[in-house]
Amino acid sequence: MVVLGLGAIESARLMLMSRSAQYPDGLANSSGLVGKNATFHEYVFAVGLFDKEIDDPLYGWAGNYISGGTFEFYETGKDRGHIGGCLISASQTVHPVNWVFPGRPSWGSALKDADRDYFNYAMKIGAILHDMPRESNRVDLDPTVKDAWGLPVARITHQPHENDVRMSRWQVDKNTEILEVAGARKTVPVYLDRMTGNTCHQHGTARMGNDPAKSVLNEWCQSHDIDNLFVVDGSGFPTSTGVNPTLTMMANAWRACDYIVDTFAKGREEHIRVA
Amino acid sequence: MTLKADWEIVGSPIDPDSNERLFFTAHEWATIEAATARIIPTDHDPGAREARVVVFIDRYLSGIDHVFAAADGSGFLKLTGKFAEAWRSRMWDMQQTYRQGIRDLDEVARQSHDADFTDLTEEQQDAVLETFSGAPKPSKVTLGTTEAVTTFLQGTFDEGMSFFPALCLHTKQGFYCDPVYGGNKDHMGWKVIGFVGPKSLKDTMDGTYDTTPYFMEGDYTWEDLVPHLRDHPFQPAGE
Repeated sequence: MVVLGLGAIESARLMLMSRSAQYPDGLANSSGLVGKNATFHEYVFAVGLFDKEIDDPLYGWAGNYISGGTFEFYETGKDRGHIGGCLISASQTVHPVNWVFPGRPSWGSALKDADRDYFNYAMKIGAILHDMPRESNRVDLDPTVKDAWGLPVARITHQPHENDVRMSRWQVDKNTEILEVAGARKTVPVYLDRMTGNTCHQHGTARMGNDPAKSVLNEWCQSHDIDNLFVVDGSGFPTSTGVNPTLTMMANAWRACDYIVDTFAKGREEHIRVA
Repeated sequence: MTLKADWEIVGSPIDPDSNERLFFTAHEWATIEAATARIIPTDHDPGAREARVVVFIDRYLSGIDHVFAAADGSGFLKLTGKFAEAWRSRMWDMQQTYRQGIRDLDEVARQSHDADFTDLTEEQQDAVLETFSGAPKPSKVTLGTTEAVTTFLQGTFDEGMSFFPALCLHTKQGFYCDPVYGGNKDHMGWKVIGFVGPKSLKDTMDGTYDTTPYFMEGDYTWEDLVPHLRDHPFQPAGE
């Protein structure tokens, strides 16, 4: 039995590289969907700067990265022009060497003044973008670039869905509004124009479903095509969710492993009935 | 590849006062020291020159012996195998970027002022950096505005960067790094901006580093902070 847990990019890459006469398009790929519908959760945010002559220092670096969050905007709002929503959270702007201030002057006294005046007077409110799957957003094998072992690297092709662009704009504007109400003297909204992969979250490249023609894995993270191949990372997520996904991946992997031990290893097969 | 925690530790923390040059020539050292002093200038607070940013950059560029500090700050991780090969190749590229960049900087200085960069006044050096970077010297941040930007990778990685952006990045890294890397001498960079970091990296490993004094405590209840809790009291698990 083989259980993959390499992350949605590398699990898809390994399946696509695993070609044979029997599986000319890669393992578990009779649907042609391995690598497709990749979602990546861009982190979009707004930064607020406060005035050290008036405001108290925030000392964001002293605490946890995130100090509070809300699901108030997670459900679809009919008047927003997009479906779905995101977890948003207030956070620090990290450490001096790379503190998160888009628009920070690049050199000279303006740089030094910006760091000195605002490093302790900054915070941000971010969103984990609940990006929509598109079949054309995909991981495949690069035709020219090889890794250190001479194997093709994963190539990523991605264009945000229109819903992603709208959701991020609405949510970043809301975050900016919250910062302004909280007293920020300057705001820097960061709008989505492309996926940079800044969260390192990966999902969707071996989507889970009941129909072998429309999905790669079944409800137990088990390949439809090959009984003894399981993929227990984020590859199986048909949609990305609008939250940090690792705990859900871990819980889902645990659930799949329970099935492997309690059922599959005993030579049985079970399925969840969907009404 | 084993966990970095298991990698061999070699060398020792870099001495910020060292004038030994591992990569730069004497002229290159002086040029980079002068240029970094325009990127983070000295005013009523120390700047890149006093914080020994040039030592940080020289050691970083010198090879692969100063890439990752050991977690406890006692030395540096020994890179091996393909990881070492990749870093050697990266550093070779960055060495060429610096060698050529310094020649180009002097070329611009000679064209405009008929002298090497190091022989110019600070104002003249700023003018050369403006020409060299192709953009005006950045202006001071102003409050009372909203300035939107689009998504970008908030990275600190320099692979493939051209000379001036790399020099700006490395200057900030050298000013704000842990002192084990040779810059941020006596925590000068951190003191300038009010970051109270650990006295040594070891303090982050054994619990000595403590930020409790910077937490606000006792002034608010949870119900003050989260009004929802007034009507929906928190229920501890199991009750």
